[in-house]
Amino acid sequence: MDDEIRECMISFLPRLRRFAYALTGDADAGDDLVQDTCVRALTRLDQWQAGTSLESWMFRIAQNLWRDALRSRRATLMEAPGDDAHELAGADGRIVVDTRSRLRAVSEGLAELPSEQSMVVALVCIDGRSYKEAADILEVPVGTVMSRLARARRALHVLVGDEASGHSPKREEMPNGQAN
Amino acid sequence: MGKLTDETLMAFVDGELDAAEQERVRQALAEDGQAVERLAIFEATGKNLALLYDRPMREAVPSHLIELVKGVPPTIEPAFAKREGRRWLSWKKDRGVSWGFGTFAWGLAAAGAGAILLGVLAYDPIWTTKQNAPDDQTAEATVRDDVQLAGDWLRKVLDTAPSGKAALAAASTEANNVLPVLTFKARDGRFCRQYEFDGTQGRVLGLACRQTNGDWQVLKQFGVAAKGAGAEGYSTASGSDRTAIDDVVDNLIEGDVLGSDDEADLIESDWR
Repeated sequence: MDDEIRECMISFLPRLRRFAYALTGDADAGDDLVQDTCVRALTRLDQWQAGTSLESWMFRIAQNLWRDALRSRRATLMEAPGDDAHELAGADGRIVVDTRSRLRAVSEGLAELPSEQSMVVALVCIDGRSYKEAADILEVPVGTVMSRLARARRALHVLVGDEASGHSPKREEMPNGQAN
Repeated sequence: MGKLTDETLMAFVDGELDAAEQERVRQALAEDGQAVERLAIFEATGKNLALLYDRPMREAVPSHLIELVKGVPPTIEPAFAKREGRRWLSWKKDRGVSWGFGTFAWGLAAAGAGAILLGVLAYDPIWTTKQNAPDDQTAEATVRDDVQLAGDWLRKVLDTAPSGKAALAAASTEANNVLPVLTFKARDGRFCRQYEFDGTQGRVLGLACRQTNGDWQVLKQFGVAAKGAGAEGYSTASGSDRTAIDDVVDNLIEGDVLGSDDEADLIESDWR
């Protein structure tokens, strides 16, 4: 049983790393977060309720650790992201540059958002979770996920601008504040 | 259809709407140029962001993470399990022989390169009170003339604290962050609890059963990791550590682990 759980955990690592990468904006910091997540999951395995998603539970641990980390060591983990972007996108130099600058812009944009918003972007837009799955992981209602996500993406669009979308954001038309 | 909200537009982009809703949104979009512009915001910030962060999906997971999850290196794990097993057996055989519960501390150097076994440490001071069981002819058969009983602080936690909630941050000079893990009824009718705490040398796992006289007999207890070994100061239990406790639970348990309501009732009724 124990070995099965460990095997499951190992199979989650790629997605968990991507999620942590998105949260931290930095591959190494992301892996540190994954490491802490694994340690916590293994030492508190008794708190995982069998029958519930082990993967969601680990993502929940990761986002909790990240939230705690933001509180206590925001400065150290928020080093300039995107330095490893040169490995992205293959041989075409232009694409690499575009991707790198976009990654940097998005990472910086995500870092500007309140953590509750960046987490829901990381879960839905980057990890590809449904709203329901994100709600389960974050332990909030689906409606909360949707309002946070819409707010986050409006803000991200403004923050990131051209780099994210290839379109100019229409700042003067941006809805600011609550969704209707 | 009324005005398209941002949430609706976003859900449309993200594929979260059912077919009928999608169709309604499409029709509404045809007549609402402003909504089309808002739609573009959500298209630009949608699942395409995943491509930016796909490096972890394309490369191998760093070996130090896999080793961490796998636990202690397999060349060492059996030695621990064997040793633990021997000790457990000898305790069962050599009743009446006095010995302390040894604490095996495993150090996992979690920093950087992965899990490295630091070594086996010495015996902890006896933290349980050791005393003879009461001279009670009606005592259940499993009560021995030489048993390990929980000390005052542990007894207090086991008597009163619900599972899953850390109790008594500083329970004693020897223990912090005591956490009852689960409660179950044993086949011999006793109620038993698994627990953990931070001992002087690291996290300690244990299992104790409540006797008719109110004492908690400690059936198994051992340390699992050096304190502060984890990246943030929490310690790491290896697979064999958990298995060692689980095996004892499996041997003793009747039915399932108690739910929190049943457990709360028991605590309320003083375990009767």
